[in-house]
Amino acid sequence: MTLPEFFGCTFIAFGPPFALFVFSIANDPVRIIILIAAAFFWLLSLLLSSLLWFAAVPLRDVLVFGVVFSVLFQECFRYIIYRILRSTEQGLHAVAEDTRVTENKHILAYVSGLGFGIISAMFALVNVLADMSGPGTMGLKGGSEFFFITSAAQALSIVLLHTFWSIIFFNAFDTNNYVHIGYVVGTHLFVSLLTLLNADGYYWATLLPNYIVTVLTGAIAFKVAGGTGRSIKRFIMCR
Amino acid sequence: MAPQKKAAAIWLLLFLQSTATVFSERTRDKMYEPILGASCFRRLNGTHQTGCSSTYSGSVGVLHLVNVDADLEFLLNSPPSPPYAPLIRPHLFTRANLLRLKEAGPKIISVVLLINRTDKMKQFSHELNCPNQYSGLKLNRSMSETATCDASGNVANTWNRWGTGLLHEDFPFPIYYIGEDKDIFKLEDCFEKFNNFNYESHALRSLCAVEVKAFMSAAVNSEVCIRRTNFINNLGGSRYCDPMEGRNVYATLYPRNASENVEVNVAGSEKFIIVSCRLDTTSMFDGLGMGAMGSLVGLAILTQVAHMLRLLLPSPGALSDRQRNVLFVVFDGESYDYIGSQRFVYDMEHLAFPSPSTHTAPISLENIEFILDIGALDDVANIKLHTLTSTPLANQLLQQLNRYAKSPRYNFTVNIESNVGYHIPPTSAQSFLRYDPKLPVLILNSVPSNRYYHSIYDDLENVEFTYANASKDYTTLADIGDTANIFNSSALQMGVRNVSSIVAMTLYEILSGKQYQGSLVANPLLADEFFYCFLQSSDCPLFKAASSPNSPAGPQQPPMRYISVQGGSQESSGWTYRMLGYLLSHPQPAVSKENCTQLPLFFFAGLNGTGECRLTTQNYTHALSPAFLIDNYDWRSGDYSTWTESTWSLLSARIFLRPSNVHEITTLSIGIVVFIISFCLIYIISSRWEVLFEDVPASNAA
Amino acid sequence: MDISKAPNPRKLQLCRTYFMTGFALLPFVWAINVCWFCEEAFRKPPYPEQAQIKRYVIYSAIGTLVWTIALISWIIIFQTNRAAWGATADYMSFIIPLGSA
Repeated sequence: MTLPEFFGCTFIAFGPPFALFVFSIANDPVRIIILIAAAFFWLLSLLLSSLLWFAAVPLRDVLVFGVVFSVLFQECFRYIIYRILRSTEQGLHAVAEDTRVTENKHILAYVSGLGFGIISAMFALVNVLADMSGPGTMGLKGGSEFFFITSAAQALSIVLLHTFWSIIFFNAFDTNNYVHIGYVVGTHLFVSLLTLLNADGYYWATLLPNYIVTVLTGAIAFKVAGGTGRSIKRFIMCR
Repeated sequence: MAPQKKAAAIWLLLFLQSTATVFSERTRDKMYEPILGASCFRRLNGTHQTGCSSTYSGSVGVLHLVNVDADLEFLLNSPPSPPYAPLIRPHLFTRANLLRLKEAGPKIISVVLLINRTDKMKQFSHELNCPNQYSGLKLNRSMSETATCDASGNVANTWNRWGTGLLHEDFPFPIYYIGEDKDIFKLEDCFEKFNNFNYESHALRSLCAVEVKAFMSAAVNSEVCIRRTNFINNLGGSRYCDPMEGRNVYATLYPRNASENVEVNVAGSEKFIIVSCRLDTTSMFDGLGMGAMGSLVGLAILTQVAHMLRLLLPSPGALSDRQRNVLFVVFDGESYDYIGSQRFVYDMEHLAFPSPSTHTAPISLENIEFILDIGALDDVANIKLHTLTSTPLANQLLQQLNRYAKSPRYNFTVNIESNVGYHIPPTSAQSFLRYDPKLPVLILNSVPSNRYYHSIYDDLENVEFTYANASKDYTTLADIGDTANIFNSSALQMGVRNVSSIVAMTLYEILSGKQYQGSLVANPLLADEFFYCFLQSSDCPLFKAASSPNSPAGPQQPPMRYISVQGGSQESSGWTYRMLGYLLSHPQPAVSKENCTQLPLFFFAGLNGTGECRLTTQNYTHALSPAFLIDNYDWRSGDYSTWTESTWSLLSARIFLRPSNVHEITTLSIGIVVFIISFCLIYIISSRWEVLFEDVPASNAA
Repeated sequence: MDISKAPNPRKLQLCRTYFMTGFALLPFVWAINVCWFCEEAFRKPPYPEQAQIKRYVIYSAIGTLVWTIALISWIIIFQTNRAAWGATADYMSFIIPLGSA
């Protein structure tokens, strides 16, 4: 991969998260702290997954084993961060300059979800980006030229998905909506397992369902957070 | 319903994936394929830089196989997607073609790959027509070029008429030699698969390209890079270049007396006949080039002469004059303006040879009776005895040589003629003549016929060597007819036997004062073992016998014979040292292994590997040009060799797909568009988010 | 520290110290002085010390400009002639590029 490709892929994967960060996180220190804390919790889940992978020697070559348990660990840590945030709400309310953080519970969910997503996408893409330093692109020994751009698009969808998932997940625990919890864990597993198809070069077979799930999840999250068809209409009509 | 379906899909995937194990693979490993080969590198002298260098991060070019000249025209005149990396076969690797590529510049031609496809090759020599053109004997001091070869005149009269001189050119691109078929196939496959169709669309699609990393630190000339290396501000201590240096090997026929007071006994009454040849060779590519015909034949003959004289004259008692001795010297670095012999003469001039650590009296040029230099013997049956002027010594020697050469008793079929005048071959002897043209110097050299002089193809095929592997004793002399059933009369081993027998018999006659009457001649089996060691494998009987019994076997490759720099392998001088030591030494059966540790005593493995103590006479001298010893040396004076070798950190090559500009720009534009759109969209949403999320759900109201 | 909260004599003293320090071949100190006191010198409503601050700021600006011009021209001259000057240029350099003249 060459320098233009490197920047192209970086912009695709991290452009939208960066914009989200700039406009909705950066101006509030509490949100930044929560974002970093969420990222840290995601890293803890990665640590556990890798420990498990390391310990289960005979299953090391079976990727699917690692993927499933990694997803489960991530969801566990999503629940842990949910518990922590809910229990520290009072404290947050006391220190926060911008009280919207605690007044609208979805903001906490959104910020921690974005933290999850950004760190997850980084881990997914940084290895690929690191190998982009050379002058070549994919395709000499199989693989397609579009490998990098699909990887970047995939990373972007992971960021968005994690954000949406957190919003749904937090709300589901608030309202004891078990279908939503099941939906989050189920789609997370589904999307992660889909990426295994990339090994065989079925890029469109992974990317397309991936984005369908993303849009669907986005719609649910929007609804959960209080959006309606009417509000969209009003938003577009600028009233 | 939906979760059920998903669960089913997941279980299906689980099933599919668990059947096949997945191997972790780095993205980089899928993108790049390493290519093994040898790279050209940069050497510098007092005034110029030669060789090649890549750019700092590695030079990248699109592969293009050049089969005929027209392919080259295509690259030079209408390259659709430059820069290109032509894959050139040896027969097209000519001076004219390379200079055209150089002229095109690194924007068009960024890498040149030389592939080992020799079917149409007729000649391949990158040395100058006049090797060591500027460091040989000079007619008068005002001329810079040697008087012994005229490069501007008739090429056929030069010492290397097939030479292209490319070794002394500076190229703006790296040149990489690929020897293995496996790697050549990789390149050709990649070219066929991605590049070799529809040339018009080269600019629009991804092409198979090669990246060669061979960045050289040094530049301009030796003066500049040595200055920068020794520079006080050079805080990082980075080396830009290293002087070429190696080791000359010398040995005497008889051990010299140790004298504690070395200062006094300078001239003495010792008389030396010097028999010399060169040790090294060179080529354009790092680590390659065996110099089989160019210099190894001479070394083989010197070794055999030494061995035969040692057996014919076992002690000084047989000599007519007991003060006489024979000094065998093998010079290193002769390819680069006679580094070894220049230093040897310089040391003799300053009474620094042999070094004081040997506790023997210094030998000066007055101690030399005469010098017999063995040059390039491309044709071992037709030899010329070169001298500057006709002297009684030369006439006498020629007569003696011819007596044995033409003797029907030995049937050597060697023709030796005299050649008097300035047309002297580029051998070590030129350093002596340059110091003093009146020195008694005689050179054995044949009419040059080596089409692969100083190249990677001067190998065992060039000298038509086949290893007989007779597994017989090679350390004794052979009877004339002994080995007729092993070697064809035209075999290389027999040729070497003939010349070395003639020279050894002549020296025997000079030393002992009587004609050689015996029926024993040099043993072609020794030549056989010698060439096997130096051309095929260092793990060979002769080298084993010449090592100590418990030393590890040599590597399976032949020793590298390029002079290299300090810290280089110096394999060939090491092996030559041990081999000459072994062949010239005297057994000391009375000395036990425990007492046989201090030189000159050395415990050799010997012929059968059981070990024997021997009294040796061999030693090293430093082959580093005096230019690096003299303070404030004028680098442009041309007095001494100033060759240095640039340092580098990495020599490597790999192939990959180079994305087309279209692909790159598309990716970048998509990225920028996504970036901008997301910024605008999120700005709008975040500025009016209250409108979107007006209905606060019941859970939040709580 | 917040300059606007300091008393006026303290501002003048600071400005003078910075101006004087700049003479120790420290043009960046002048540059900082200009940036820092620009607003005090030209935008603030007049006060007794302002005239002096203004003078120091202007002198600092001139000093910075002279230094900038001198440095830029030296860098251009040195970089374009480095190879031609040979050994002299090497002795002036701490970092010598690899692989070129």
